[in-house]
Amino acid sequence: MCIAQWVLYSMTIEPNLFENLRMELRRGSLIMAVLAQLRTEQYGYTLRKALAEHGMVIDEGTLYPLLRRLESQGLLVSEWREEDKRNKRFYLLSADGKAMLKQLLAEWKSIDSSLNGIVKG
Amino acid sequence: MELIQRYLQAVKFLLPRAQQDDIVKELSEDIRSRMEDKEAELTRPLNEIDQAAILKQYGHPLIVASRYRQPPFQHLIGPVLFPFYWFVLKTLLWIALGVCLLNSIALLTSGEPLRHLLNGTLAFAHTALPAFGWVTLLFGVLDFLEGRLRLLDRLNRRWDPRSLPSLAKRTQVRRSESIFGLVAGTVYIIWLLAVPYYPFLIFGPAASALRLTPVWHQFYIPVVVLALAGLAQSAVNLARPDWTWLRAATRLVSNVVALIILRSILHKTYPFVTAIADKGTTGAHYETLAATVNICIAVALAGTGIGLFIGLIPNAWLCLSELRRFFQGRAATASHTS
Repeated sequence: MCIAQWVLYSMTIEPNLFENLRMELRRGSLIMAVLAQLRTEQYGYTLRKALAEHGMVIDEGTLYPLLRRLESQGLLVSEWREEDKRNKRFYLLSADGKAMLKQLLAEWKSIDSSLNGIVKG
Repeated sequence: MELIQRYLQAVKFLLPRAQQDDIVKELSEDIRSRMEDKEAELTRPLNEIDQAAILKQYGHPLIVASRYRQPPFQHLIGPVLFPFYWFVLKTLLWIALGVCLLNSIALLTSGEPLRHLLNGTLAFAHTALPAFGWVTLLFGVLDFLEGRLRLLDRLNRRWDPRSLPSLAKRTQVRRSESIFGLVAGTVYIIWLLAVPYYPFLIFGPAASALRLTPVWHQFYIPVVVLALAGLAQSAVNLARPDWTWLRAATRLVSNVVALIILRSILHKTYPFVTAIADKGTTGAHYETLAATVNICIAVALAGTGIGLFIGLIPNAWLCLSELRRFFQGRAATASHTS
C-alpha cells in the first residue's frame, strides 16, 4: 500500500517541488540568520562556516549576493581590512539592521505561533 | 592557482562593470580560504583535480555572476509589462500574417504562378522579424523606464477602483440585426436573380441602350453564393444569437472573397458595359453614355475595394477576439474538470 502511494505521489508531484518549496521557506529565514549572526563582525567565509555549524547551510552563490543586497539596504556595514596578511571584507549589523532584526524576529515568532495553532487545529 | 585565476576572470567578465573588482576580490578570498581548509584537511597541497572539484561546487561562472545581477537588469521585459507586450506582438504578427496570405491569394487568383504564393508567404518573415524587433525594443525601453521611474507605483497610488470598466455584457447577435440581415439579404438575392432577365434593374431607363459585357457572367455565381452565405448567417444567428463566432467568420470570409472577386473584375473586365449597336447619331450618343458609365463603375468598384480592404481590419480583429474567447472558454472548462 505504501509503495503504491509512493508511486502515485511520484507520478503526480513535480520532482523538484519539495526542493523549490523548501528554498522558498528558507529564503526569509536565511536573512534573519545572517542578520543575527552578524551581530558580531565576520567576513564571508567565517560567516558561512558559523551558519553551517548552526545547521543553516548556505552556499556562497547565495550568501555573497545576499550580503551585498543587505548592505545596499543599509542593514549591514562592511569594510576591507587586512587579516593574516590577506585582505578580507568584514560585515557587521548596522543600527538600522539591529532594529530590523528585532522587528523580523517578533514577526517570525508571531508567524510561528499562528502556524502552530493552525497545524494543531 | 592558475585555474582559480581563470575561473575569476570568467566570472568577472559577466559581472556588472561597477562591481566587478569588488565582487571578484571577495570571491577570490572565499575560494582561497576554502582551499586552505581543504589543504589542512588533506595535509598536502591541492592538485588541479582538487581545485577543479572545489570550483565545480561554486558553480558555472554564468550562474555565479547571474546571482549578483539586480533588477531591473535581470530581464528585458518584466512580468508587469509582459502581458501587454505579448498581446501587441501577437496582434501585429497575426495582422502581418493575414496581409501576407491575402496578398498571396490575390496573386494566385489573378493567374500568377504558384511561386508567387510561396514568395508572398515568405514575405511574412520579412515583416514579422522587424515587427518583433521593434515591439521588443519599445517594451524593453518601457520596462526600463517603469523600473527607474516606478510608474506602476505611481499608477497604484492614483488608482481608484471606481474607475474600473463596467462588467462586459454577454455578447450576442441582436435579433433586430439578424432580421434586418434576412430581409435585406432576401431582397438583394431576388434582385440578383432577376437582373439577367430585367436589365432595367441595373441601368434603369438606359437599359435599352446599354448591356453588361459577357465577362460578368463568370462572376455571377460567386456573387450569388456570397449573398446566400450572408443570408444563411443571419438565419442561423436568428435561431442561435450566441453564435457570435459565425457572424465574425462569415464577415471575414465574405470580405476576403469579395476582395478576390473585385480584384478579378478590375483585372479582367473592361469595359464593364457596352452600348447596344445602333447606327447613326443615336448610336454615337449611346457610345458616349457607355464610356461615362464605365468610368463611374470603375470609380465605384475602386471605392468599394478600398472600403473592403479597410473593413478587413475590424473583421480580422473580431475573429481574433472570438478565437481568444473560444480558447479561454476551453481553458476554463479544462481547469474546472481537472
